Amino acid sequence: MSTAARTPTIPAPGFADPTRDAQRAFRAVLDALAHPTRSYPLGGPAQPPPALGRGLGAVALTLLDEGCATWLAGPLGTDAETATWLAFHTGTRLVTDPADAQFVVADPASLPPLARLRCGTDEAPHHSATVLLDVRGATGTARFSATGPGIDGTADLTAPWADAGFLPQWTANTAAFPRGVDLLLVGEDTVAALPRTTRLHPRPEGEA
Amino acid sequence: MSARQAVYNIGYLDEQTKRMIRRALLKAVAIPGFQVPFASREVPMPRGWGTGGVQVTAAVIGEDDVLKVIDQGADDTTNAVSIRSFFASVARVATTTRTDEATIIQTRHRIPETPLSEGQVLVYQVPIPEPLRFLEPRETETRRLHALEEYGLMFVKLYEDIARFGHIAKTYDYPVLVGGRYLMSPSPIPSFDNPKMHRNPALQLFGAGREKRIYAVPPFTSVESLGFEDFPFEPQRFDEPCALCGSTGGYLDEVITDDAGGSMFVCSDTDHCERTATRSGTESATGTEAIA
Repeated sequence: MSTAARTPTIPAPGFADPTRDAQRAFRAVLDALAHPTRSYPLGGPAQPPPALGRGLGAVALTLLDEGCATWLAGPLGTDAETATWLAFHTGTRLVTDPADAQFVVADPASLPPLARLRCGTDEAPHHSATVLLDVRGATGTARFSATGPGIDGTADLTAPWADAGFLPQWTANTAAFPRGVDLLLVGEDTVAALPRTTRLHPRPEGEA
Repeated sequence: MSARQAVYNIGYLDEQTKRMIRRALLKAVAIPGFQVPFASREVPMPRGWGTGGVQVTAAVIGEDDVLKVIDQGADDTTNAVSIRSFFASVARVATTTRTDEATIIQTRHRIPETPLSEGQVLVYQVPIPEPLRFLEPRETETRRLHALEEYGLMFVKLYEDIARFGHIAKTYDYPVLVGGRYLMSPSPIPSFDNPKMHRNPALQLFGAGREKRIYAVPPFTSVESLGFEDFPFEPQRFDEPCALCGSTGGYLDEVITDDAGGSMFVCSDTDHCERTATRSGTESATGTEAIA
């Protein structure tokens, strides 16, 4: 099926119950950020654009509106259905430079270097990007142990979405605190998070 | 014809406002102790009566939540009762006075005596979010001081207390350092409650409606009350037990009982007091010993 044929003139519906569904999705995201590395169930719209998926669709409907700028990375950036759907349901401004965006929607392959995203200033560290990372179908083998606020001691993080270049980038991101970007790891029905305060350490392969 | 009742959105606030507050909350959790500005809305109560806490609660609450509201520890004061019935009506949530049954606890100036558990959310009503405000009135300057992690002013204030009174005289709104980085006002909770904030398993959210700031302390985050090596932070202590329930180790309020200077000290946490009294009543009636 060609992209043109799949692009409907009328966008697919958003949340069945906008108020309640958005509240539940927000609580999942809030709990995820408050308990980094832990995964929380996420309920999404029934027919989201396939490129976005249920999870990212739910987070987008919950957090995006005309008050914020969003950058869609890689193939998502050229997906007309996603753009139409986001414009109709959220009204978020789509920008062409990731450095301008409050929200960056990307998959692991299209995620730009974190240093290229908005990381805020020392006086306004909240003017920083939140990355909504599409982790559906990731098949890597990276594993980290994590420490920081929200984690009681140490937590294990299985990160199939992380490539070899991720750890040094993330270490630089945490070192810049209070500046930095925050990461939401969004699957089809789950969300986990890595706020800028979470420090990651490599875990040797095969360690229990 | 019956009078038409005004119908509000669930949680009172409109969805766009909730999204704005939710985005601020996420950044607040990501930067523990940092005050995130937000566009504070009007809610049906005067500024200074907990409008920040109400907006934070409204952005977080869902119909499966159980809400508890306390005012100086009490579930039965005007402010607590009206905020609780407000959310029971606009968010259709169940309410409770029991700390252990609540999923969201909105509080004015106390942390419950019953230890909080993981998954609970504690929402503080904050009058003055900036701990340096009375030392440096300019917002532009306090922002810079936070950016530079320059908190000497606060240490000078504490030192001047010691020089003048022989001890640190601040007994409420006692400044804390969150995550080893941000100086934060814990809101006017008694310094007695400060140690409870340290590595608390609950998520602590702070809303200042008049001052338009939201900040947060994630679970298991270090919250250190300021002090000096030779004059460390010392929370308030009470020597006598509560006159109603007989429990020790809680925060007590002095209640005047007559015109002749008579008074008694009772628990400020009414839920804790009531349950301790019930428990000890049952114990004496059955003669069994409960292991608390």
